[in-house]
Amino acid sequence: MPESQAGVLWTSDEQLVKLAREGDRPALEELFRRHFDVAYRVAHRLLGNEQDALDAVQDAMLKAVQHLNDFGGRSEFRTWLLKIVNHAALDAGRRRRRRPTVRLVESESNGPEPAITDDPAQGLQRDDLRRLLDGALDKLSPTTRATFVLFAEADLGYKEIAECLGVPIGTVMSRIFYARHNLQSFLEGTDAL
Amino acid sequence: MRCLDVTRELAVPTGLVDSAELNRHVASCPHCSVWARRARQFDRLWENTRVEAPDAAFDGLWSNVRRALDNPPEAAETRPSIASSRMRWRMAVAVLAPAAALLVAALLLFDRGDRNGLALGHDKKSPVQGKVIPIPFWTDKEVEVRLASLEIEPGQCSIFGWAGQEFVVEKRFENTSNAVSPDLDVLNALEGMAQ
Repeated sequence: MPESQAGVLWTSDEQLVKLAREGDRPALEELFRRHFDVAYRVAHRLLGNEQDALDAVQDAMLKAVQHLNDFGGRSEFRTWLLKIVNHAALDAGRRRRRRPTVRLVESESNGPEPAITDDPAQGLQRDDLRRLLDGALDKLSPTTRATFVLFAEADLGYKEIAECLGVPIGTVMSRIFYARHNLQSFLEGTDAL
Repeated sequence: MRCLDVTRELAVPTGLVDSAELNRHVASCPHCSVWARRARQFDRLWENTRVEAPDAAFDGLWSNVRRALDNPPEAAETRPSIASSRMRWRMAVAVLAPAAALLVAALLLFDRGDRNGLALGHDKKSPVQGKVIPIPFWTDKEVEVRLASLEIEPGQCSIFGWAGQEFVVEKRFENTSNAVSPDLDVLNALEGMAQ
């Protein structure tokens, strides 16, 4: 098995795919390492907890590796991988209910919005806000949630999301608008907004 | 500039709206200024609740993937191989395909859907059948659609997507009156019925 070339970190995804198909294991690992963070963040937003997200990402990575020859290069590798991650997360969500989130009692005060800092003492507050947001995301349909998460977390463009989900661009834009409007409405009056 | 255009551009930026005009509208419109403020708060909330992968998570996952690649289908951690799954599917299709073809032919003979270039409804009465809702396209035109069903038949393409649902549309026509905001409460109820 050939050694990976020096400077593999600076190689494009297309070149890494080509090397990986030729059996270059370090190139294959680098290809997936490069996109692991965004894959995990998307899966976590969709599933709401660390273990389910890791399981879904592992399933997706294995599937992507096994089907690497099916990647035709019409889209970016990241878009193709996130499509697989989304499917894996949907499958995981069907198999296991999203872990129920603890809903906080809605605050009746109209005090100033909570400050978010890196102060460890604020860690609990960040977790509470995350749970509120997860609860709001949970109210969306799976397809709407996936569309919004790919937009807001993976920073994909509308065309890329459309390719990922196999729907028209207009549908993507509609879903994002609807998701955002509803998420903001769900969170109104809570400590989150 | 309509409030719907403003909130739509704030939520789903296209770059097609004059930003100076948009900012002027937001500054002068109580509804849109509140919407914009909520949107900024939401963006901040999203950023501050971002979760990063645990340290060394990738290494652990990748070792499992590597093990699965090096030890094909019998490995405990792996799922059944794709190849054997495909063989089972092929066999199932070979057995069921003739029966499915007969069933489809029978359904087509009895189908009385609207063939006016739009999707077919089906005999089962949908709770939203006949309901008219305005749908803003991302174009200059405003259209309304009369819904046939929320249920997409296998193999049927959705005609339009809105509110997180792909609707099967009975008829689509231009709204010549002044554009109205979509009734999101109605659409929420429709989505609730579809789930």
